[in-house]
Amino acid sequence: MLQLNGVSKIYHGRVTTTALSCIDLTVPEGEFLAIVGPSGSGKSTLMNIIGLLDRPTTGQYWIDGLEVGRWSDAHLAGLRNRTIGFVFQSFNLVPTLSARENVELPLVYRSLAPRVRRQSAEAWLKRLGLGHRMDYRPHELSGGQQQRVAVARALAGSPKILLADEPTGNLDDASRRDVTKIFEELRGSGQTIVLITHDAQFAAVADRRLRLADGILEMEARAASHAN
Amino acid sequence: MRIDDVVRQAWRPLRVYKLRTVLSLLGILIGVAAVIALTTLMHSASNSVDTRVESLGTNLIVATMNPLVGASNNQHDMTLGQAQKLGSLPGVKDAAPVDYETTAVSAGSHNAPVTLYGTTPHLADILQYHLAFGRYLTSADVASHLNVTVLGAQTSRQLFGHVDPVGRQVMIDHEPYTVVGVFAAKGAFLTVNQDAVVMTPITTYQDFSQIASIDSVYIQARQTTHLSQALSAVNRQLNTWFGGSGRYTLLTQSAILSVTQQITSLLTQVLVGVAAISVLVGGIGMLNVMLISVSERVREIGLRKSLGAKRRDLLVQFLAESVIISLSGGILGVATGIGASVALTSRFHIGAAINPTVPVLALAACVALGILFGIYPAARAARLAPAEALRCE
Repeated sequence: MLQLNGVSKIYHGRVTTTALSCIDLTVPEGEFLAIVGPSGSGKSTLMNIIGLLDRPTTGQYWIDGLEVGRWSDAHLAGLRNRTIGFVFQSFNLVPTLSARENVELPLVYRSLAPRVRRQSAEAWLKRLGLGHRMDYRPHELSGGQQQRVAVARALAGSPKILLADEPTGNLDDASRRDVTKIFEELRGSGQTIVLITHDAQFAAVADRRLRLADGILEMEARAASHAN
Repeated sequence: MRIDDVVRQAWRPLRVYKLRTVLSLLGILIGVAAVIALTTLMHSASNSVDTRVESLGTNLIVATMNPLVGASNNQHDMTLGQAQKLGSLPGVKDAAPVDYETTAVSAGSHNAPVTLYGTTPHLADILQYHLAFGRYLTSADVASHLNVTVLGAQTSRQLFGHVDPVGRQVMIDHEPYTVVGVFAAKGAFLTVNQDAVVMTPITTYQDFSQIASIDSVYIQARQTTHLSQALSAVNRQLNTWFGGSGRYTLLTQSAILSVTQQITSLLTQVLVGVAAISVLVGGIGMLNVMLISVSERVREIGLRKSLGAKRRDLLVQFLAESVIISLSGGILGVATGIGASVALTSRFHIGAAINPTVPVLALAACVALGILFGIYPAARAARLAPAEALRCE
């Protein structure tokens, strides 16, 4: 599903920083991959490249069988819309839209008819236990609820890859367990997931774990559950 | 992205941040209202001046003797006989010699300021005065130098109240006159009150003022089609009598109209120019608000990009926001401007003449303004790199 060959990212600021150096990574369809690592290790840069939000300095990137290095911004936007669902640490819900409208947003950019995307948004919100909060605006929801809206939004477009960057980073314990459970269920459904976290308990849910340190990706251990 | 979604996505933040939206459209509202009110006011005032110039009498030519300047071979003044002779020229219907002064008229203890006209019976007809009581001056009054007078509507009311004053005595310049008629009310022309007048025979007027010459003659052409014929006939005749050395001036109604129209159109241009500047200032205010709005919503823009929004989607969303602001400002401004126009014209007692192209043009200008001042903030939003925008706090 995903393949990175010798991907590097170098930032030319006041000092030249190498955020990622020569990453080789393959994620087969249906795998739940967790990438762990301390802050500053280049996790967010890797996430941006996998999520087509940023371009690598060198290297090649295949997604769903396509090499996207030379794609235009507009084509990348379209590809992002169809293949990737994002969940962010800070939820990133649009404050002026209701929960339902937030979930509908990726489908708006797919030019879907309002009736169709409404049904899809409502189905996902109900599935994530927010059937009674659909018309609430983000500031009227708890952190856990906001993150569940964000997960619903990421999945509403049926993306091939769910990309989550520290989804539990801003949550209390109860909400964290909630979100962890949702990801555990998603693994069972065959969804390809790339999770970036430094929460070891959360990472343990994944099929495979990799460690990112100073821009270099290392093998960690096989998740115990994978053996089952 | 569907067009209804563009409007929906643009509309929502405007509704949520109500105060900001209202403040940014206020500048445009005030500017547009000012443009509409000023153009309507000037247009109405100019219409009202036109109708009043026309109410002076149709097909009017005014011949005025100029004061003598320096030495001249021809120093004759116009006589009453000459003035009356102008009335029998080809194309001319009537001619009335006119001399006037401002003075006061009294009856008992009541006083009224008036314009005193010494003239002949034709003037009332030429200036379209109608009678309320009694009769007009007659040729016999003029021939016999009688102390008779016809009062304007306001003068009669000031001296006698609502009583019919025909047959009563009034004092003009310490001389007694008998009232023979009262004119119906006519209204004001520019600053001249046409109802504070008294008319007396020109002969009587000359007797008391001891001036034998005629200052001006009001001449009426038979028909509009005879106007140029009458004008050249009068000109030829005056030229024969006084030479072409600038001793007299001929003025037609259309010349007066074109002068007043020039003045009002110049005033309109200046005032509308000032109002248009205020629309522009309103647009700059909106630009400022849009820029703040974009920089406050950098994260939202990054998020929308991560969800698949293309540059074009964000460009049209933010453009739609600014066009909605400027267009609603424009619509409210048109409504306010029309309201203000009606209020102001009724305050000045003139008919409101709203030119429908002005509101339409104003709204089109608002859309253009929304695009012009929205394009920069929208382009900034569209250009943001998604990864950096998402990192922004």
